[in-house]
Amino acid sequence: MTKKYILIFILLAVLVFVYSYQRNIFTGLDKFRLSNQALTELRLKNQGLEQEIKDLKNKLNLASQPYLSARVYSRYPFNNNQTLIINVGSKDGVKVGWPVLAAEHYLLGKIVEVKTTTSEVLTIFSPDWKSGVKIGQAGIEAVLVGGRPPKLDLIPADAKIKLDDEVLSVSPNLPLNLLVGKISEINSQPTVSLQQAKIRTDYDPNQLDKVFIVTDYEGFD
Amino acid sequence: MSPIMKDLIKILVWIFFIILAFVLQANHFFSLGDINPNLILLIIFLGVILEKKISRFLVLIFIIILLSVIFLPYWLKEILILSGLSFIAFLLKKFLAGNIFFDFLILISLGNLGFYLIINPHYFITNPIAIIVELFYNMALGFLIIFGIRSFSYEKKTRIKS
Repeated sequence: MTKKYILIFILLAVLVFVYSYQRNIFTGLDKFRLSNQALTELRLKNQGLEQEIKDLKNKLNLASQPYLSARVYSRYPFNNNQTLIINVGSKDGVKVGWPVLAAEHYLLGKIVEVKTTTSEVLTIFSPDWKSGVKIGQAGIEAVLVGGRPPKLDLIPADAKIKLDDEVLSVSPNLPLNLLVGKISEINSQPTVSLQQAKIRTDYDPNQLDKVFIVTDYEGFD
Repeated sequence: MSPIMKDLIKILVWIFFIILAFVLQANHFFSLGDINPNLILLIIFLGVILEKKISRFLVLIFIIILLSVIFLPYWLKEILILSGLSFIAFLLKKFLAGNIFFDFLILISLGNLGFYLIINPHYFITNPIAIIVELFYNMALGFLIIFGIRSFSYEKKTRIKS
């Protein structure tokens, strides 16, 4: 009788063991499948990021250019202005008026003050910024007014501009044809004889960590 | 503890919080979208509210200007304006309501508006919404700071009594 109970107990134990083992196997398989999927996703993401880095490096390609790279040290701490402090100064040969780029051909601003080891950059996001620009292929002239976002003013009412048109710098104290951004919004009022537009940049000025100073430029300032 | 020692400790505590405000503000640490709160204004006006002795308040202003010369030399003009406004507020604080919350919020509003009025009056026309948002943000932070200080001092008092 006792043997019978022992046998039943063993049988039950085996059943429980087999059941739990089987469950573990399936859970394990599921986990393995999921991790494999995650791994594939990560691999794809990694490939995408590698490509992005390559594209950015190609876009920048600043190594052989007459640029001085600088780290953004600090940003204007109040809201009424958008200037940057960078970690190069007169010790590095920096001069007032030199143009500053966010990336190759992307105008960010210009040097307005130089100290021994730091300099102040007035950016196109600052309300104090004003410069001449041209819009799109047609080269329609306008005035770039700094702000968040920067705006285009004094665009002739009959000028045919459209969204995503490139805005290029034509100011005499900056290198010609530097990209300012693209048109993101057009305000044309029938009562006013001029149009206005807003500009979108490909970068966020608040996230800028590194900038490039054009060192071989003599403007007309 | 001698009164001089007490004064020294208070000044050291102020220095710590002033440096903290400078670092956080210069790095846009609490910025919401494009709006950066004026932590330096908050700390200076907190000094106006909490400091009773004018001598200690002047030391506080001196430290703020000194730190600005060292860390934020490009924005010395802004710091000098804030210091000037706070000094006027200190002289006129006896005319305030006497309620620490209310007084602090009034000072923040006046200080905030006064600051932009002096530094860039055009900013009121070009971006009034940013000024209003910043004002509310500063007031909210100011409220939290003063609430924290009140709770801390109340807890300290009850602990001493028990």
